[in-house]
Amino acid sequence: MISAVELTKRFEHAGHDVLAVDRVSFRVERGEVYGLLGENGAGKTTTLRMILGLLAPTNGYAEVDGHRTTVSSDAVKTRIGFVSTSAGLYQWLTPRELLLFFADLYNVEPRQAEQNVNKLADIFGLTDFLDRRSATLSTGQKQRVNLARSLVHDPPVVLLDEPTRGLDVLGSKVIFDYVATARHAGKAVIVCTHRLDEAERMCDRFGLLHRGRIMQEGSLDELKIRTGLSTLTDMFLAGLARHEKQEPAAA
Amino acid sequence: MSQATTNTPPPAGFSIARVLRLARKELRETLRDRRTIITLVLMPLLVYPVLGLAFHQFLLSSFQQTSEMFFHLGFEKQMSQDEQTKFLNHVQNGERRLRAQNPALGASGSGGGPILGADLGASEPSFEKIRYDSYPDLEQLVLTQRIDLGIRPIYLPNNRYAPRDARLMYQLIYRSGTPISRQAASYIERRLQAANEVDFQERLSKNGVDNTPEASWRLKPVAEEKGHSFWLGTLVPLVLILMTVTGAVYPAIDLTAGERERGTLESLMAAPVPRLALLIAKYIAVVTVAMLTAVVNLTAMTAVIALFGLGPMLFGDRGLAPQAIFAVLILLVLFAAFFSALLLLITSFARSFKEAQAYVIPLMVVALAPGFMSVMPGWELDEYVSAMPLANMVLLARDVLEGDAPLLWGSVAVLSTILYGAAALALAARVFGSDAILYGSEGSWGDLFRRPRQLKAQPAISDALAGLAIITPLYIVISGLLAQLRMTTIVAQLLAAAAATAFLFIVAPVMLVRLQNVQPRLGFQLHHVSPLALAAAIVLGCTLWPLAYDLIILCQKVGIATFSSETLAQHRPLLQERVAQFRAAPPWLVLFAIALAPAIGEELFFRGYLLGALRGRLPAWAAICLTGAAFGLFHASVGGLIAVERILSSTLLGLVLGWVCWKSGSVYPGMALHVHHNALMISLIYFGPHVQDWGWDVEGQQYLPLPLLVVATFAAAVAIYIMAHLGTPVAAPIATSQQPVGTPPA
Repeated sequence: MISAVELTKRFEHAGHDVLAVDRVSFRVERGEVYGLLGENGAGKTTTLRMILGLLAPTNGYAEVDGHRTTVSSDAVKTRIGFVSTSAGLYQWLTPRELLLFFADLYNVEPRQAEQNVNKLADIFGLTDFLDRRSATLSTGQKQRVNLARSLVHDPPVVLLDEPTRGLDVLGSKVIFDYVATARHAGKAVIVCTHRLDEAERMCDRFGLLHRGRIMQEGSLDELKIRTGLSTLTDMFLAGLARHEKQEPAAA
Repeated sequence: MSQATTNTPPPAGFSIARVLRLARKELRETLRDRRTIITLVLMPLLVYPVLGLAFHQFLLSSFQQTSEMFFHLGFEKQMSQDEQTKFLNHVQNGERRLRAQNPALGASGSGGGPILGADLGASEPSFEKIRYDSYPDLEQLVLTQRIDLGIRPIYLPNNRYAPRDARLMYQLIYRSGTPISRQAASYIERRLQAANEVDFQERLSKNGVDNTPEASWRLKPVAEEKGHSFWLGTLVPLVLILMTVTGAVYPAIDLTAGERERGTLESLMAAPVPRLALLIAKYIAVVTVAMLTAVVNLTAMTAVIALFGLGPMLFGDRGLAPQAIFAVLILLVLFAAFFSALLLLITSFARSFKEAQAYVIPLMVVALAPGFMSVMPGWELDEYVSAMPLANMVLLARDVLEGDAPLLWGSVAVLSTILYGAAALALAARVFGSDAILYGSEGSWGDLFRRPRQLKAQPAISDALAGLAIITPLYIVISGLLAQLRMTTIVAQLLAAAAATAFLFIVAPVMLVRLQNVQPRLGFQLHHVSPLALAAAIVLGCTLWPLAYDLIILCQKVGIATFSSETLAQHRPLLQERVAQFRAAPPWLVLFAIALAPAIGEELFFRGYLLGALRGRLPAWAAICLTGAAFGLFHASVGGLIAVERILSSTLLGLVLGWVCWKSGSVYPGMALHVHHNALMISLIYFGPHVQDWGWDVEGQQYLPLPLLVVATFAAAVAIYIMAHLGTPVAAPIATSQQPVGTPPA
């Protein structure tokens, strides 16, 4: 459903060439949750944005449902539901107005959009505040509206960027439930996070990203066998140490 | 949630209905925000009454001070001492009567002249405080404000107005644009009228028959008055424009930088909607709010002017006419459309509300400068200012309010404002929501002007619009400068014209193409063509002129013309002098400067660059019509006047040239056509006397002989047939700028 092939992104920053993502390749199938894990600045969000077509790759390409992001950008966007940690809401609109607005952006028929909104309101518990101005909602309520927004057009692919950042236990549980529901619905999901413990609970396969490159990739069992370690955190730290050793040697 | 499926709705793409729905959402959000309501409704409700009160107080205090001042009257030099004394006696008698009626002299007088100050209850200077002297050339003195009022005697013949002895009529010469001059005229007029009433009553009681007034007069505004003096009325358009702008600022920031700051922009960009559709929706919302602001401001201002009785003081005798209010509203809407585009361009760069404010404040300051300069004395809407953003609108609004807006420069102001707005919007489309702005990693103002790394086959539409927005004001200013060269030799004028054409339509577009990293051969459509296409174009060039010429004559005969036969007759000596000058110049130079250089330059710019940018992006008819219209408008001005008939014939020529370029895929046939067309037109004038020998009275504005027209039409039809059946040219490749660097082939 999703494939990234040699995805590379270079930025020019303050006159310097910064390699943010370095030849990243992976695949995500339907009904699978893929965790793109790494420390802050590892290149997770940049990779996600290239898949979504918001950023143009310097090299390589990504495909969603057979559509290349750089060629059929709109076809790709139509198939993706995107949840970002920094996503906000329109303060002066109600959640219902916002969801219907986004349904319209994704070309959902008005009647179908109404049905989708009511269904999502049930799933995410939005009914009580569906017609309240968004500015008056709590952080958790806003997060739930955002999750509903990403699904209002019933996309086959869902991309989540740091979905639990800033959320309490209850808020995080909503995310876990959401991911489980998406998997159950057969959607291909990518979760970007630096919370490795949470990733273990949510994801089926993992890509451990460091400085723009994938250090390890596979399911938890495969990684355990390959590294001889039991948790993602240990695997990540071991990979980091190995990488640090290699770098001075290479230098 | 349903099972994952690829049967997702297709992307919506760009549609007007969708854009309007998007705009409705933006408007709904904006209008719910109380900050918008504050600038939209509360600001005008507060500002105008305060301004009205301040104006009122200012005027009152000025007139109170005026009562301590002298009116300075000037008698015509030839007016005898006795006549002057007689006039002053009339005024003094009138003064006595008025004072008898009203000791305070506060109420408005009974005369119908421009009454200033009296409406506000201000007292007027007493008769003893009038200064007077004799002068020659009263108009000039009034015009230069050295005297407030000129009095010229007019000796009437013995007719029913003067049945008694030798009688004088006084011509009161005043300057309508100067308040003190208007007030002096009003002062004298009312006293003469009061004197007449006294005299009439006395005579009526004696004879009961003669109703001839003792003193008769006629007001005469200075006819040759040029330039506007500074007066508070000139500030009104500026205040309106600035207030309208204020209404657009908040929504523009909120819908661009504000959206990014709130984190909603990324979700919006992730949706399958063209960026241009999102931007246009936001633009519609901003313009709508700005227009609402304009309407509220205009209504509040009109109400305040009416309530405080400021109309005559600010706008003279006419007061604030309804049609002027409507015209100003149109101008405000136009300006709102332009400034909203500019604001969106500026705020699209910003990554936060604060950053957007930091960009907008200097813009406002920069905008204030031409605005304030334009209300200063001596600033007129002319070839230099008509293309200057903001200043042109302020001056045009002022002229509209004063009822003397110039057609040509007013049209240039309107068109240039529309063009700047379109260019700003096109540039904003390049910036809005781009990854650089969205993520702030590599974006800067330099990006807007940075040469793209990838070589392009054709300019982007936004590039072409920016090019047009740069070349249009340059064209207007350079045309104005060329007109100043009339005093030099004809050779110098022709060389300057050729150089200007080359700079505007060849050098500048080449520089643009380099800056935009467009492959010159493809960007200007410099493709080889078959000799047959060239031959057909040459035939068209040789046969179109009789049709174009007769079209102009037909326009003039049926009345679709700017120049009346009187105007033409009036300008005929000048035209003949001009033609004589041309005939004195070497024919090769005339042909080079007026036929060859414009033909090559204009084809390179209008058909090569502009039409090339539209090829493949717009349907052929739309692209040809747009460039044809632009070509026609560039040819609108003839000697500082708009010639409608010239726009029509030039637009038609532009359409033919556009079609030829579109069919052949190259600018060369158009160049051949254009050169021959120009050369023949110029030759007809240059060799006018010889042409007249053939029975073609070109200078006499007569139709050409019918056989010539038949032959020309037939030949043109054959050439068009050949051109139409040349086969579809290889379509110019679409620009590859949308493709990211390093994208592998799909």
